[in-house]
Amino acid sequence: MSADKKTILIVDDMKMVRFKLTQICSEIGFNNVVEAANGEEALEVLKTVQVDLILSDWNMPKMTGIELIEKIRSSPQTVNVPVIFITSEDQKENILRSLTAGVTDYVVKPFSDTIVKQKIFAVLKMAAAKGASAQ
Amino acid sequence: MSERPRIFSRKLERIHYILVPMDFKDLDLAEFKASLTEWRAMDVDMHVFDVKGLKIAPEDFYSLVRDFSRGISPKKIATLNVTEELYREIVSRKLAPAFNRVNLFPQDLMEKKKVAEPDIKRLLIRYLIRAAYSAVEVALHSTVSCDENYVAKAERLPYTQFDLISIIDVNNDFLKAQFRLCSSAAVLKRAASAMLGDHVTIDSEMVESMASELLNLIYGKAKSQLNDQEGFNLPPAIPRVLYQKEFGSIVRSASPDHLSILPLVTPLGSFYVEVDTGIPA
Repeated sequence: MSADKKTILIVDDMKMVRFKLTQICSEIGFNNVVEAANGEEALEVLKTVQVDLILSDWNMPKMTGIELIEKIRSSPQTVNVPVIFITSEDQKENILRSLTAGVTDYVVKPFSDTIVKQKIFAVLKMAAAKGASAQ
Repeated sequence: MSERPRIFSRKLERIHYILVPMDFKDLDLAEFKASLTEWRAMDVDMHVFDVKGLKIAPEDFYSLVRDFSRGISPKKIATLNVTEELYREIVSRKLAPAFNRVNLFPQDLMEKKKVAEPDIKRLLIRYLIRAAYSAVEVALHSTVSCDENYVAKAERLPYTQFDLISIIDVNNDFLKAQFRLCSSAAVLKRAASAMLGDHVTIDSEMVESMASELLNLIYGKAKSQLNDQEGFNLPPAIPRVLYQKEFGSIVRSASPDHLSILPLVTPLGSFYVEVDTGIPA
């Protein structure tokens, strides 16, 4: 998988978290990173930028992560974009809500860099395999 | 080329989600039976069957779910989106406990324990401390200590010694309270450096973000665990940050009956988490 050709969208209302996740992406070769501070901004980005992966928080102003993923899954352009939730929301009902909404994977905050890196690689590999088998 | 499975199944964290096709047929039974054997060995807290749109199922479907539930703890199964037609079939076979239908999702997913009033404060403090340990150790790569039995007194901790206070307001049927994280800018700056690396320039926006995210981590983790394990009903919340000139807007309870202050001591410096249940209506 060629990391330098992939674009990752990071959605979180905390600048600190966006910075940290951008750092983590860069450490594993993903330098094409786009940021959004909430779900609404993310949807604006998605209108013009083709992304390969979305890392999103849950609790954000204007539009939550769950609302964002519901919009992503209902649009033909973005229905197959993998989404990893990175959030402190790890109650069972929220994990289930994420699953039914179509989230691809989940990282519970506070997160370790290693776990995030592993999940990014795993999800992109799965997406690539899915794309290959569809052809 | 092998056919794609008709029964969708995914495990996320400790939840296993199974989407049963709405046109579940006799032909699906073999796949279902083989999958159940595999799922029985999974180390999860809950298997959730989503039977959206399924009105009629083959006879063996019910007995397979019944046998599956007997092999694991009954509280580990829940069934979502059960149609009335399917529910009548389930009830007629006396299998309602096996399927454990969830009427209102997500509210009814977990059995709610009744929390006694005197326990609320005690449990809040315990879980907030645990969450603070987790936040500092994992996110800041540092250590923290806090004595659960020691609560600082407000008069010994005037707000004048802090530069930022991040706040979460909780106001629902379960609890009316304000959660505050009080810190100096210097400690937050060191915390941000610990999180991002010494080579990163930490500006004032990052310091504010650190104040917000630290409380988000502590409250968020405590909330999830209290709601799941102790029957609490704390809502999700986004912190807001106040600077010293705005501290006058905080109505801080004086009585220790309402105000608990947890000093969290780390090598990066100390910060304080307050739980104030004496906020005006």
